[in-house]
Amino acid sequence: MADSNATKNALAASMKKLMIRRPFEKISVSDICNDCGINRKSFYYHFRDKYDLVNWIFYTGFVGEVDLFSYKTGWDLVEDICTYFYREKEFYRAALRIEGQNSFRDYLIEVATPVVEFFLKDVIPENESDSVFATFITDGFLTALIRWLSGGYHQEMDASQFVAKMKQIIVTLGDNLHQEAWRNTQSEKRRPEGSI
Amino acid sequence: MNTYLMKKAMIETAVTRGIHEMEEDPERSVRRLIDLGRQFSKNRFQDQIFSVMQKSLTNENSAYYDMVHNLMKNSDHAAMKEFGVNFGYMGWTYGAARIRETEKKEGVCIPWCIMLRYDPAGRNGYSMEQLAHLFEQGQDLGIYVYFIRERGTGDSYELLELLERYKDCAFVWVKEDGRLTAAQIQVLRACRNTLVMLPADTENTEPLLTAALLREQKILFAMYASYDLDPDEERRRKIVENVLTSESSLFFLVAQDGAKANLRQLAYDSRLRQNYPFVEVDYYGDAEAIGKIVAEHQSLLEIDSDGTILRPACGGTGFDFGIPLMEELRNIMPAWKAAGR
Repeated sequence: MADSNATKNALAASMKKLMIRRPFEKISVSDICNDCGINRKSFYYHFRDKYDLVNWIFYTGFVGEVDLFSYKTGWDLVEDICTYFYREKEFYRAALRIEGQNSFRDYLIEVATPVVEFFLKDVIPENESDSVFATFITDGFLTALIRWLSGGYHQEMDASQFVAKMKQIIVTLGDNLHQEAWRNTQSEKRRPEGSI
Repeated sequence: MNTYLMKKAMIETAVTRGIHEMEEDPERSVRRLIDLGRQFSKNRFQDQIFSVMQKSLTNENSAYYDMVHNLMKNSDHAAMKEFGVNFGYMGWTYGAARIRETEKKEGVCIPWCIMLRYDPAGRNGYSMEQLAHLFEQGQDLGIYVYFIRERGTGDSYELLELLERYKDCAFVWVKEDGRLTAAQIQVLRACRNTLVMLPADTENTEPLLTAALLREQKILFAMYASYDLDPDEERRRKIVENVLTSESSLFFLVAQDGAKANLRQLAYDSRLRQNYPFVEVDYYGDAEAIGKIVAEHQSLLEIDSDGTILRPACGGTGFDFGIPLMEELRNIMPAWKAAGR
């Protein structure tokens, strides 16, 4: 039997090629197999279905991309993820449009949520374990990512530029909210007691 | 931002995902895990190991698929994750990187794990406080894995309470009498960083009853047998039967002191043949082999219950718990030589 990785990589290459040409819903397992000359039995030996193949492409691509030991902050990780997505943007633009159960979007949310929760741990008060926070951040990031990969910001931005913009928005917003909260606190202190 | 915590969180996310996929699709998931290992192998040796494992798993009737089923069925998944991350990431990756850095700086071999023999009733033995000190200093050097062979009958859970405190470490607790009290089992449920080892080479049925209790409570455990000489067929058959009954996924072969058994070959051949739904591990031999990969040397540190150093051979010298661990390692461990020199 051929090396498993070689077989999976061949199936992945065909899947990527087909997804650039036509919608995911119109691609069958037979199409993928015919494109790379691998039989269906081999496909199912490695993957449950075509959704599983797309998720695997991301997982191995992402694992190959990240260099955990070089990161100094979470933003380094975000930038690496975005660099990877940008390099493969035609594929991921299509992948992020997949709908239904086991979609790549759902897979990405599932993978990203614990990581987001980790980063929020230092920010959200200890007694607040509401998953709404992590979901809000993940949803926001995904929407921004899809728009960026689809050229929806009407300006060309590479991964570092996109991440720099995200960081700028978050930091600026955070700064403004912090200043407003400080001003409100000062204002409360100056108000005479008992006044409305 | 603590980058070590960030990396650990990412590893934990990947492991959680891996366990989830193993629950849903065990056969494909285990194959993919091996494929991933091969894809990211750093050298020819690792590539060879993963290649052999890949080939083994092409056999649809491989007993290793049954092993994965047993493991998923009989273990608490959170414990699998905690123990696995501590043993694999903290022990072999994060800790090993620190060990290698210190070895270069200090010029002395640092073991990737510490093996201890412990006798709760022993008068000349070391105290819980000394053990705690050892674990703390061990972690500072990058040693996150500890094997503790407990002899005699120990009903107390003082040791378990101590192990539970070291949340980044992985402990293998060898219970030579194969007995656990109800209180010990309850403490073990919270002690997710600990894997219990029970003897399979005994006529006594107690270890198998204990294994059944641990299975029911989904506490991580393994079986072991100790050997002096290579086992004859009949003895081996009885031992294997016990391991099969226990549904353990790991079976350790432990060489007795001065043993002439060729356990490394026995374990290796068994892993290749994959006749049984468990992986055979040569306790000392595989520990040495792992040391060669992660710490760039094969030297192990093992301390007897009375504090005598068993490995490396030090002529019966006692381990000095009273001085800093690094200082004691300088006294007893071999000098470190760069790989390839």
